[in-house]
Amino acid sequence: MSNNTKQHIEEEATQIRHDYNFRDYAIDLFKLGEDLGIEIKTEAKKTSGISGALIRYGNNFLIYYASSINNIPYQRFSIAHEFGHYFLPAHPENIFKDGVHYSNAGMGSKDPYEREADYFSTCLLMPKFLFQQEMYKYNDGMEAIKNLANIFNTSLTSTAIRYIELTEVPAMLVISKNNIVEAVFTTKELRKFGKNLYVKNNILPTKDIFSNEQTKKEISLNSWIHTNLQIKAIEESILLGSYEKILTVITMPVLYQEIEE
Amino acid sequence: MNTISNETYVFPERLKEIRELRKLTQAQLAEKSKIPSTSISHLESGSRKPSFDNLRKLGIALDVSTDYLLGRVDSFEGTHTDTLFRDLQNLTESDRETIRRFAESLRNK
Repeated sequence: MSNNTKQHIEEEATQIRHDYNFRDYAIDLFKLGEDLGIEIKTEAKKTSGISGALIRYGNNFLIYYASSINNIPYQRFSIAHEFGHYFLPAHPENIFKDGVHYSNAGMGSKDPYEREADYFSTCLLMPKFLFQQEMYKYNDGMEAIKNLANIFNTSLTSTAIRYIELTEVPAMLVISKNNIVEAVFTTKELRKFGKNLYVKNNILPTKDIFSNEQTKKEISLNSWIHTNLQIKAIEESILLGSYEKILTVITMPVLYQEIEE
Repeated sequence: MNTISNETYVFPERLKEIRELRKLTQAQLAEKSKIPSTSISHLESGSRKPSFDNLRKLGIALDVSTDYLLGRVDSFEGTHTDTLFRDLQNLTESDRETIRRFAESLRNK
């Protein structure tokens, strides 16, 4: 992050929900645009290289989002990301003078401003205080993630990442594509058991999982974590059809503290 | 990455200058712009950087363009167009054309 800490971004997003009186779990982004006088538009296209843009002329703003990927939660994340650029301090100075802004081209998600806008999107769509109210109403792991995604109208991937960030249970999320690890997220409670076996770009053992299929099995924790402890964990995987990505969530039925005792 | 330009340093001065020109106190500007008075004070001292939302509200309250506040133009009404992209590296020619048309529609508002 550049200057905006995660805590500041969370507060900013929560304040906006409060100021514009959004009480629904799934925030209506088009209503927010209407309240602000910011048009949110798309255009029918078969393909699109970008997911969205914030366009400004003088004091007028417009949010463009790509709808070529027919997935409402994905589109909502893109729109909320653009609101991040609009609401976060110091983003205007990231824009150059000559009309269209091309700063950090090619840096992708390494750009701190893009990362800030992504985190703002997460916080606006899934505020911590509401997420925490709901997350323990379901069984840990995929059941909780699926229900939360439904409640907040968010993608399984972004919901799973938020879940790992906020849950108090020992849990791990592995995002992979063609058996190559793209990202690994762990909770503080899980890290007490040991270090991850896999990190980004590692190759995973082959999984036989088909589109929209979900698997759930009991495994030994040491198939994911460096540990000498012989303990069982729950491994749940789901294949996200359109992206060929697999989300794997590992949860522990016990806390490390309980094993020590 | 180096994104700090001269604009950053011009903004606090310009904000103070135009507020005084409009004969408004920080509290009056706060009320008019719906930005908390403490934030106005931080923005003028340069300890807080503005968001587009701040700039827009201040621009409307002070009847001046966002671009003037940012130091991009030297007249009160001067304007520029900006576009912030996500996944910029994937920008296609077709996207560029779409953005250009939307920017045009904003300009004609």
